[in-house]
Amino acid sequence: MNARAGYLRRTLLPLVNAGTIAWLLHRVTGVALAVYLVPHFISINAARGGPRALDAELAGFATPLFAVAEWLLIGAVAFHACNGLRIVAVDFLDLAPRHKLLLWLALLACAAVILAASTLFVPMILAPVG
Amino acid sequence: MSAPAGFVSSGARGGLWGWLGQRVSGLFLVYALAVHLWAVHVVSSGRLSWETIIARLQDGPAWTVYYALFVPAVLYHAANGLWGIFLDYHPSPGLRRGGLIALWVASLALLAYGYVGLRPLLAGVA
Repeated sequence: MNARAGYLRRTLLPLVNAGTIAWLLHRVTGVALAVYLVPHFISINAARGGPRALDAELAGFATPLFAVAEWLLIGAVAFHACNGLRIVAVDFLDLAPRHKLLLWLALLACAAVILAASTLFVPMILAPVG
Repeated sequence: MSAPAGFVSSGARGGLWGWLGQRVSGLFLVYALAVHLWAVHVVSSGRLSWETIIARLQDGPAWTVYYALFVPAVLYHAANGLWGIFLDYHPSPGLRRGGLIALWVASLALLAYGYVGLRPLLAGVA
């Protein structure tokens, strides 16, 4: 037990820094968004069935569960976009010495987007479907 | 031109063009997704339907140009990103080639599928 705790401290603790967590989150949100494209394209293809088919498809998403999913989705997009802009700034504008400051700015921008999205999605999540 | 030494983000693993392409497509996607999410979740909030979608898309050729670029940009960015992650696991040459072919086939199939799905909305008729 003690030995295992020591092993985790040696292997995992060095990973716990803001840059590494941002790298990991960028990867996780990126893969999640790539996977999401498939069901997203499938639901858009309901349009081939005409107005009724598309509206029936869209009506299926008007539930609190999908509101939660969309909120998470926008959170993933916000993080991936803000952190991506930070990566572009570091790479293109030679801002590597300031990458920590840029990371906090990116997180601030991401938090602002998520907060703005919350004003839209939290009422949808809490409201009864009607 | 190459990724700055000492701070090479993972997109650099796929080579210069993959690195540059991921950044250029990423910058475009920040704009395109802002427009997409604003149009779908703010402008059409609570009343997203065939009616409101085609009303928006019939508004002018700009939306057709927008989607013509948005779909390949998002698929390129996704495939290129997954490719970079795949290379991080040091696949064998055979696996590498298989992965590349799989990503190309999936991306081109989704590109065609995405355009086919959008066509009725851009044309205004199913």
